[in-house]
Amino acid sequence: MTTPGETKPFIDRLVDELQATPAPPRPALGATLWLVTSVLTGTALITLVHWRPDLDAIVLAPNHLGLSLLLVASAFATATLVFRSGIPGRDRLPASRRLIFTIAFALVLFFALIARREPAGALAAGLDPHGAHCGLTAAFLSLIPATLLLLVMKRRYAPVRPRLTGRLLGAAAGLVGALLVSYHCPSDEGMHQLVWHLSPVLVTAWVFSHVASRVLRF
Amino acid sequence: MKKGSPLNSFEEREERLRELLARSQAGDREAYRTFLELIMETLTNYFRRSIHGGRDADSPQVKDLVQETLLAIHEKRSTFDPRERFGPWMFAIARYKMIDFFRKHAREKVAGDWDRLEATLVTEGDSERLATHEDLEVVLGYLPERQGNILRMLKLEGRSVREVAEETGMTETALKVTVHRAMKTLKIRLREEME
Repeated sequence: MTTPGETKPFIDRLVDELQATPAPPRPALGATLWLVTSVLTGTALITLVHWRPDLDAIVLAPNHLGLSLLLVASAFATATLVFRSGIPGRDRLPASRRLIFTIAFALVLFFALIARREPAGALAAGLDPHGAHCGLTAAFLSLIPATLLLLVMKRRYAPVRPRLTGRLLGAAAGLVGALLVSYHCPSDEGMHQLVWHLSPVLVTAWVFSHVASRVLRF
Repeated sequence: MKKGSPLNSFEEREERLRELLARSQAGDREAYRTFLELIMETLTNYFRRSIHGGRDADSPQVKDLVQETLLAIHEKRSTFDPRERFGPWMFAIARYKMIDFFRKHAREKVAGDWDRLEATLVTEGDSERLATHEDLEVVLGYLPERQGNILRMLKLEGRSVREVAEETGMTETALKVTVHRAMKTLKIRLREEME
Protein backbone atom coordinates (compact mmCIF):
# COMPACT_ATOMS: atom_id res chain seq x y z
CA MET A 1 0.00 0.00 0.00
CA THR A 2 1.45 3.35 -1.02
CA THR A 3 0.29 6.68 0.26
CA PRO A 4 0.25 9.65 -2.12
CA GLY A 5 2.98 12.10 -1.10
CA GLU A 6 0.63 14.94 -0.19
CA THR A 7 -1.54 12.71 2.02
CA LYS A 8 1.32 11.14 3.96
CA PRO A 9 1.87 14.09 6.34
CA PHE A 10 -1.85 14.09 7.07
CA ILE A 11 -1.86 10.40 7.93
CA ASP A 12 1.35 10.85 9.93
CA ARG A 13 -0.38 13.55 11.97
CA LEU A 14 -3.38 11.36 12.70
CA VAL A 15 -1.14 8.46 13.69
CA ASP A 16 0.90 10.73 15.98
CA GLU A 17 -2.29 11.89 17.70
CA LEU A 18 -3.50 8.34 18.31
CA GLN A 19 -4.31 7.43 21.88
CA ALA A 20 -6.20 4.50 23.32
CA THR A 21 -9.88 5.40 23.41
CA PRO A 22 -12.45 3.87 25.73
CA ALA A 23 -15.67 2.83 24.03
CA PRO A 24 -18.73 4.87 24.98
CA PRO A 25 -21.32 3.04 27.09
CA ARG A 26 -23.84 0.81 25.36
CA PRO A 27 -27.17 2.53 24.56
CA ALA A 28 -29.16 0.96 27.41
CA LEU A 29 -26.46 1.75 29.99
CA GLY A 30 -26.06 5.29 28.65
CA ALA A 31 -29.83 5.83 28.80
CA THR A 32 -29.98 4.51 32.37
CA LEU A 33 -27.15 6.76 33.57
CA TRP A 34 -28.71 9.76 31.85
CA LEU A 35 -32.15 9.06 33.27
CA VAL A 36 -30.87 8.66 36.83
CA THR A 37 -28.79 11.86 36.58
CA SER A 38 -31.70 13.80 35.06
CA VAL A 39 -34.20 12.66 37.69
CA LEU A 40 -31.78 13.44 40.53
CA THR A 41 -31.07 16.91 39.12
CA GLY A 42 -34.77 17.56 38.57
CA THR A 43 -35.57 16.35 42.08
CA ALA A 44 -33.05 18.83 43.47
CA LEU A 45 -34.65 21.63 41.44
CA ILE A 46 -38.16 20.80 42.63
CA THR A 47 -36.90 20.69 46.21
CA LEU A 48 -35.65 24.24 45.75
CA VAL A 49 -39.14 25.35 44.70
CA HIS A 50 -41.79 23.09 46.25
CA TRP A 51 -43.26 19.62 45.98
CA ARG A 52 -46.98 19.19 45.55
CA PRO A 53 -48.75 19.39 48.95
CA ASP A 54 -50.36 15.94 48.74
CA LEU A 55 -47.13 14.17 47.74
CA ASP A 56 -47.40 11.44 50.41
CA ALA A 57 -50.92 10.56 49.30
CA ILE A 58 -50.31 10.39 45.56
CA VAL A 59 -46.94 8.67 45.34
CA LEU A 60 -48.48 5.22 45.48
CA ALA A 61 -51.88 6.11 44.02
CA PRO A 62 -52.51 3.80 41.03
CA ASN A 63 -53.06 6.58 38.49
CA HIS A 64 -50.00 8.55 39.48
CA LEU A 65 -47.80 5.52 39.89
CA GLY A 66 -48.95 4.21 36.50
CA LEU A 67 -48.25 7.54 34.85
CA SER A 68 -44.81 7.78 36.46
CA LEU A 69 -43.85 4.29 35.34
CA LEU A 70 -45.13 4.97 31.84
CA LEU A 71 -43.14 8.20 31.60
CA VAL A 72 -39.97 6.60 32.97
CA ALA A 73 -40.27 3.71 30.50
CA SER A 74 -40.96 6.12 27.63
CA ALA A 75 -38.04 8.40 28.53
CA PHE A 76 -35.73 5.41 28.86
CA ALA A 77 -36.80 3.91 25.51
CA THR A 78 -36.45 7.26 23.73
CA ALA A 79 -33.05 7.92 25.32
CA THR A 80 -31.89 4.47 24.18
CA LEU A 81 -32.79 5.51 20.63
CA VAL A 82 -30.81 8.72 21.12
CA PHE A 83 -27.71 6.74 22.10
CA ARG A 84 -28.20 4.37 19.19
CA SER A 85 -28.59 7.29 16.80
CA GLY A 86 -25.17 8.49 17.94
CA ILE A 87 -23.44 5.39 16.56
CA PRO A 88 -22.81 5.54 12.81
CA GLY A 89 -24.29 2.58 10.97
CA ARG A 90 -26.81 1.97 13.73
CA ASP A 91 -28.57 5.28 13.23
CA ARG A 92 -31.34 4.06 10.94
CA LEU A 93 -33.37 2.85 13.88
CA PRO A 94 -35.74 0.64 11.91
CA ALA A 95 -37.87 0.11 14.99
CA SER A 96 -37.81 3.72 16.12
CA ARG A 97 -41.01 4.81 14.42
CA ARG A 98 -42.90 1.83 15.78
CA LEU A 99 -41.53 2.51 19.25
CA ILE A 100 -42.39 6.20 19.13
CA PHE A 101 -45.91 5.49 17.90
CA THR A 102 -46.29 2.89 20.65
CA ILE A 103 -45.14 5.38 23.30
CA ALA A 104 -47.42 8.13 21.98
CA PHE A 105 -50.34 5.70 21.74
CA ALA A 106 -49.77 4.38 25.28
CA LEU A 107 -49.63 7.90 26.72
CA VAL A 108 -52.73 9.14 24.89
CA LEU A 109 -54.61 5.96 25.80
CA PHE A 110 -53.61 6.40 29.43
CA PHE A 111 -54.92 9.95 29.55
CA ALA A 112 -58.04 9.05 27.59
CA LEU A 113 -58.83 6.39 30.19
CA ILE A 114 -58.29 8.85 33.02
CA ALA A 115 -60.34 11.56 31.29
CA ARG A 116 -63.21 9.13 30.72
CA ARG A 117 -63.66 8.66 34.47
CA GLU A 118 -63.64 12.35 35.16
CA PRO A 119 -66.78 14.52 35.26
CA ALA A 120 -67.57 16.42 32.05
CA GLY A 121 -66.50 19.77 33.51
CA ALA A 122 -63.01 18.47 34.23
CA LEU A 123 -62.22 18.28 30.54
CA ALA A 124 -62.88 21.98 30.01
CA ALA A 125 -61.08 22.85 33.26
CA GLY A 126 -58.07 20.94 32.01
CA LEU A 127 -57.77 23.36 29.11
CA ASP A 128 -57.68 26.39 31.41
CA PRO A 129 -54.84 28.66 30.19
CA HIS A 130 -53.64 29.01 33.77
CA GLY A 131 -52.14 25.58 33.22
CA ALA A 132 -49.54 27.23 30.99
CA HIS A 133 -47.47 27.64 34.17
CA CYS A 134 -47.15 23.84 34.26
CA GLY A 135 -46.17 23.80 30.58
CA LEU A 136 -43.38 26.29 31.22
CA THR A 137 -42.22 24.39 34.31
CA ALA A 138 -42.14 21.11 32.39
CA ALA A 139 -40.15 22.75 29.58
CA PHE A 140 -37.77 24.31 32.11
CA LEU A 141 -37.26 21.00 33.91
CA SER A 142 -36.42 19.33 30.60
CA LEU A 143 -33.68 21.84 29.76
CA ILE A 144 -30.97 20.26 31.93
CA PRO A 145 -31.65 16.67 30.77
CA ALA A 146 -31.67 17.84 27.13
CA THR A 147 -28.47 19.84 27.48
CA LEU A 148 -26.79 16.95 29.26
CA LEU A 149 -27.71 14.56 26.47
CA LEU A 150 -26.66 17.07 23.84
CA LEU A 151 -23.23 17.41 25.43
CA VAL A 152 -22.79 13.66 25.71
CA MET A 153 -23.72 13.26 22.04
CA LYS A 154 -21.33 16.03 21.04
CA ARG A 155 -18.36 14.74 23.02
CA ARG A 156 -18.65 10.97 22.93
CA TYR A 157 -20.82 10.02 19.96
CA ALA A 158 -21.06 10.64 16.23
CA PRO A 159 -24.66 11.37 15.28
CA VAL A 160 -24.77 11.22 11.49
CA ARG A 161 -28.41 12.34 11.54
CA PRO A 162 -28.20 15.25 13.97
CA ARG A 163 -31.73 16.48 13.39
CA LEU A 164 -33.18 13.07 14.25
CA THR A 165 -30.92 12.78 17.28
CA GLY A 166 -32.01 16.24 18.41
CA ARG A 167 -35.68 15.44 17.97
CA LEU A 168 -35.31 12.25 19.99
CA LEU A 169 -33.25 13.84 22.74
CA GLY A 170 -35.72 16.71 23.00
CA ALA A 171 -38.57 14.21 23.33
CA ALA A 172 -36.70 12.15 25.94
CA ALA A 173 -35.92 15.26 27.97
CA GLY A 174 -39.51 16.48 27.60
CA LEU A 175 -40.76 13.18 29.00
CA VAL A 176 -38.47 13.62 32.03
CA GLY A 177 -39.86 17.15 32.39
CA ALA A 178 -43.42 15.75 32.31
CA LEU A 179 -42.49 13.18 34.95
CA LEU A 180 -40.96 15.77 37.27
CA VAL A 181 -43.72 18.33 36.90
CA SER A 182 -46.29 15.72 37.95
CA TYR A 183 -44.63 15.82 41.40
CA HIS A 184 -44.77 19.60 41.45
CA CYS A 185 -48.27 20.33 40.10
CA PRO A 186 -51.20 19.38 42.39
CA SER A 187 -53.60 18.68 39.49
CA ASP A 188 -54.36 15.09 38.55
CA GLU A 189 -56.88 15.90 35.83
CA GLY A 190 -56.18 13.85 32.73
CA MET A 191 -56.79 16.66 30.25
CA HIS A 192 -54.64 19.10 32.23
CA GLN A 193 -51.77 16.62 32.31
CA LEU A 194 -52.13 15.76 28.64
CA VAL A 195 -52.22 19.40 27.50
CA TRP A 196 -49.90 21.14 29.93
CA HIS A 197 -47.52 18.43 31.12
CA LEU A 198 -47.08 16.35 27.99
CA SER A 199 -47.45 18.78 25.11
CA PRO A 200 -44.11 20.46 25.98
CA VAL A 201 -42.56 17.19 24.76
CA LEU A 202 -43.48 18.23 21.22
CA VAL A 203 -42.02 21.69 21.78
CA THR A 204 -38.72 20.43 23.22
CA ALA A 205 -38.46 17.85 20.40
CA TRP A 206 -38.93 20.60 17.82
CA VAL A 207 -36.56 23.05 19.50
CA PHE A 208 -33.78 20.52 20.00
CA SER A 209 -34.05 19.16 16.48
CA HIS A 210 -33.00 22.64 15.34
CA VAL A 211 -30.40 23.09 18.06
CA ALA A 212 -28.86 19.69 17.38
CA SER A 213 -28.70 20.24 13.63
CA ARG A 214 -26.29 23.08 14.37
CA VAL A 215 -24.49 21.84 17.47
CA LEU A 216 -23.97 18.18 16.68
CA ARG A 217 -22.00 18.59 13.46
CA PHE A 218 -18.60 16.92 13.35
CA MET B 1 -19.87 -17.94 -2.72
CA LYS B 2 -16.65 -18.99 -4.44
CA LYS B 3 -13.41 -18.26 -2.67
CA GLY B 4 -11.70 -15.21 -4.15
CA SER B 5 -14.90 -13.74 -5.54
CA PRO B 6 -15.30 -9.97 -5.02
CA LEU B 7 -17.79 -10.31 -2.18
CA ASN B 8 -15.56 -12.80 -0.41
CA SER B 9 -12.55 -10.54 -0.72
CA PHE B 10 -14.68 -7.64 0.50
CA GLU B 11 -15.64 -9.62 3.58
CA GLU B 12 -12.02 -10.46 4.21
CA ARG B 13 -11.12 -6.82 3.77
CA GLU B 14 -13.86 -5.77 6.15
CA GLU B 15 -12.70 -8.31 8.73
CA ARG B 16 -9.15 -7.01 8.38
CA LEU B 17 -10.28 -3.39 8.79
CA ARG B 18 -12.38 -4.30 11.80
CA GLU B 19 -9.41 -5.98 13.43
CA LEU B 20 -7.07 -3.08 12.59
CA LEU B 21 -9.45 -0.49 14.01
CA ALA B 22 -9.96 -2.57 17.16
CA ARG B 23 -6.17 -2.62 17.64
CA SER B 24 -6.02 1.11 16.89
CA GLN B 25 -8.60 1.79 19.58
CA ALA B 26 -6.17 0.15 21.99
CA GLY B 27 -3.43 2.54 20.83
CA ASP B 28 -1.55 0.42 18.25
CA ARG B 29 -0.04 3.02 15.87
CA GLU B 30 1.22 0.61 13.23
CA ALA B 31 -2.21 -0.96 12.94
CA TYR B 32 -3.72 2.50 12.72
CA ARG B 33 -1.41 3.58 9.91
CA THR B 34 -2.26 0.47 7.89
CA PHE B 35 -5.95 1.02 8.63
CA LEU B 36 -5.87 4.64 7.43
CA GLU B 37 -4.01 3.74 4.25
CA LEU B 38 -6.49 0.99 3.46
CA ILE B 39 -9.62 3.04 4.00
CA MET B 40 -8.17 6.03 2.16
CA GLU B 41 -8.24 4.02 -1.04
CA THR B 42 -11.79 2.82 -0.43
CA LEU B 43 -13.00 6.32 0.41
CA THR B 44 -11.34 7.84 -2.65
CA ASN B 45 -13.13 5.35 -4.90
CA TYR B 46 -16.41 5.87 -3.07
CA PHE B 47 -16.39 9.67 -3.34
CA ARG B 48 -15.06 9.61 -6.89
CA ARG B 49 -18.00 7.49 -7.95
CA SER B 50 -20.54 9.42 -5.91
CA ILE B 51 -19.47 12.88 -7.01
CA HIS B 52 -17.96 12.43 -10.44
CA GLY B 53 -19.54 9.19 -11.62
CA GLY B 54 -16.19 7.41 -11.41
CA ARG B 55 -14.16 9.98 -13.34
CA ASP B 56 -11.68 12.59 -12.20
CA ALA B 57 -9.74 10.77 -9.52
CA ASP B 58 -7.61 13.85 -8.81
CA SER B 59 -10.56 16.12 -8.11
CA PRO B 60 -9.83 18.51 -5.21
CA GLN B 61 -13.37 17.90 -3.87
CA VAL B 62 -12.67 14.18 -3.61
CA LYS B 63 -9.38 14.84 -1.83
CA ASP B 64 -11.05 17.27 0.57
CA LEU B 65 -13.83 14.82 1.30
CA VAL B 66 -11.39 11.96 1.88
CA GLN B 67 -9.39 14.08 4.33
CA GLU B 68 -12.49 15.33 6.11
CA THR B 69 -13.80 11.79 6.42
CA LEU B 70 -10.47 10.46 7.68
CA LEU B 71 -10.44 13.23 10.27
CA ALA B 72 -14.03 12.42 11.31
CA ILE B 73 -13.18 8.72 11.58
CA HIS B 74 -10.11 9.65 13.64
CA GLU B 75 -12.12 11.81 16.02
CA LYS B 76 -15.04 9.42 16.35
CA ARG B 77 -13.16 6.11 16.25
CA SER B 78 -14.25 5.26 19.77
CA THR B 79 -17.86 4.92 18.58
CA PHE B 80 -16.98 1.80 16.59
CA ASP B 81 -17.89 -1.37 18.39
CA PRO B 82 -15.52 -4.16 17.26
CA ARG B 83 -18.36 -6.64 17.70
CA GLU B 84 -20.29 -4.89 14.93
CA ARG B 85 -19.61 -4.78 11.19
CA PHE B 86 -17.13 -2.19 10.04
CA GLY B 87 -18.61 -1.31 6.61
CA PRO B 88 -21.91 0.24 7.76
CA TRP B 89 -20.03 2.31 10.37
CA MET B 90 -17.50 3.73 7.94
CA PHE B 91 -19.95 4.34 5.10
CA ALA B 92 -22.42 6.04 7.44
CA ILE B 93 -19.67 8.56 8.30
CA ALA B 94 -18.60 8.87 4.66
CA ARG B 95 -22.17 9.45 3.56
CA TYR B 96 -22.65 12.03 6.33
CA LYS B 97 -19.56 13.92 5.19
CA MET B 98 -20.72 13.75 1.57
CA ILE B 99 -24.16 15.12 2.46
CA ASP B 100 -22.47 17.83 4.48
CA PHE B 101 -20.32 18.58 1.45
CA PHE B 102 -23.37 18.89 -0.80
CA ARG B 103 -25.11 21.04 1.77
CA LYS B 104 -22.18 23.41 2.07
CA HIS B 105 -21.13 23.63 -1.54
CA ALA B 106 -23.99 22.93 -3.86
CA ARG B 107 -27.46 23.08 -2.37
CA GLU B 108 -28.90 24.15 -5.71
CA LYS B 109 -27.35 21.17 -7.43
CA VAL B 110 -29.07 18.54 -5.30
CA ALA B 111 -31.06 17.10 -8.16
CA GLY B 112 -28.00 16.71 -10.37
CA ASP B 113 -25.95 15.27 -7.57
CA TRP B 114 -28.74 12.86 -6.78
CA ASP B 115 -28.67 11.66 -10.36
CA ARG B 116 -24.96 11.02 -9.99
CA LEU B 117 -25.54 9.17 -6.73
CA GLU B 118 -28.19 7.11 -8.46
CA ALA B 119 -25.69 6.40 -11.24
CA THR B 120 -23.24 5.03 -8.69
CA LEU B 121 -25.83 2.54 -7.57
CA VAL B 122 -25.68 0.75 -10.91
CA THR B 123 -21.92 1.00 -11.35
CA GLU B 124 -20.10 -2.24 -11.98
CA GLY B 125 -16.75 -2.85 -10.33
CA ASP B 126 -15.15 -4.85 -7.59
CA SER B 127 -14.44 -3.42 -4.17
CA GLU B 128 -15.99 -0.08 -5.03
CA ARG B 129 -19.12 -1.79 -6.19
CA LEU B 130 -19.27 -3.56 -2.89
CA ALA B 131 -18.68 -0.30 -1.10
CA THR B 132 -21.63 1.09 -2.98
CA HIS B 133 -23.53 -2.08 -2.14
CA GLU B 134 -23.20 -1.20 1.53
CA ASP B 135 -24.38 2.32 0.91
CA LEU B 136 -27.26 1.16 -1.23
CA GLU B 137 -28.41 -1.14 1.53
CA VAL B 138 -28.48 1.86 3.86
CA VAL B 139 -30.40 3.92 1.32
CA LEU B 140 -32.86 1.13 0.53
CA GLY B 141 -33.70 0.88 4.21
CA TYR B 142 -35.63 4.13 3.83
CA LEU B 143 -38.16 2.45 1.56
CA PRO B 144 -41.06 0.08 2.18
CA GLU B 145 -39.93 -3.52 1.79
CA ARG B 146 -41.61 -4.08 -1.59
CA GLN B 147 -40.12 -0.95 -3.17
CA GLY B 148 -36.73 -1.71 -1.66
CA ASN B 149 -36.75 -5.25 -3.07
CA ILE B 150 -37.66 -4.01 -6.53
CA LEU B 151 -34.88 -1.41 -6.53
CA ARG B 152 -32.44 -3.99 -5.20
CA MET B 153 -33.26 -6.37 -8.06
CA LEU B 154 -33.05 -3.65 -10.70
CA LYS B 155 -30.15 -1.53 -9.49
CA LEU B 156 -28.00 -3.93 -7.53
CA GLU B 157 -28.55 -7.25 -9.23
CA GLY B 158 -28.79 -5.61 -12.65
CA ARG B 159 -31.92 -7.48 -13.69
CA SER B 160 -34.14 -6.21 -16.48
CA VAL B 161 -37.50 -4.57 -15.97
CA ARG B 162 -39.20 -7.51 -17.67
CA GLU B 163 -37.54 -10.08 -15.39
CA VAL B 164 -38.44 -8.17 -12.26
CA ALA B 165 -41.99 -7.59 -13.49
CA GLU B 166 -42.44 -11.32 -14.06
CA GLU B 167 -41.03 -12.21 -10.67
CA THR B 168 -43.13 -9.69 -8.79
CA GLY B 169 -46.27 -10.34 -10.82
CA MET B 170 -46.56 -6.69 -11.85
CA THR B 171 -46.96 -5.18 -15.28
CA GLU B 172 -43.90 -3.38 -16.63
CA THR B 173 -45.77 -0.07 -16.46
CA ALA B 174 -46.74 -0.62 -12.83
CA LEU B 175 -43.16 -1.58 -12.05
CA LYS B 176 -41.82 1.60 -13.62
CA VAL B 177 -44.32 3.66 -11.65
CA THR B 178 -43.18 1.91 -8.44
CA VAL B 179 -39.53 2.61 -9.26
CA HIS B 180 -40.36 6.24 -10.00
CA ARG B 181 -42.13 6.59 -6.65
CA ALA B 182 -39.30 4.86 -4.82
CA MET B 183 -36.72 7.19 -6.35
CA LYS B 184 -38.88 10.17 -5.48
CA THR B 185 -39.12 9.00 -1.87
CA LEU B 186 -35.36 8.55 -1.69
CA LYS B 187 -34.79 11.97 -3.18
CA ILE B 188 -37.00 13.55 -0.54
CA ARG B 189 -35.22 11.65 2.22
CA LEU B 190 -31.83 12.77 0.95
CA ARG B 191 -32.98 16.36 0.83
CA GLU B 192 -34.37 16.08 4.37
CA GLU B 193 -31.04 14.81 5.61
CA MET B 194 -29.25 17.68 3.93
CA GLU B 195 -31.32 20.23 5.83
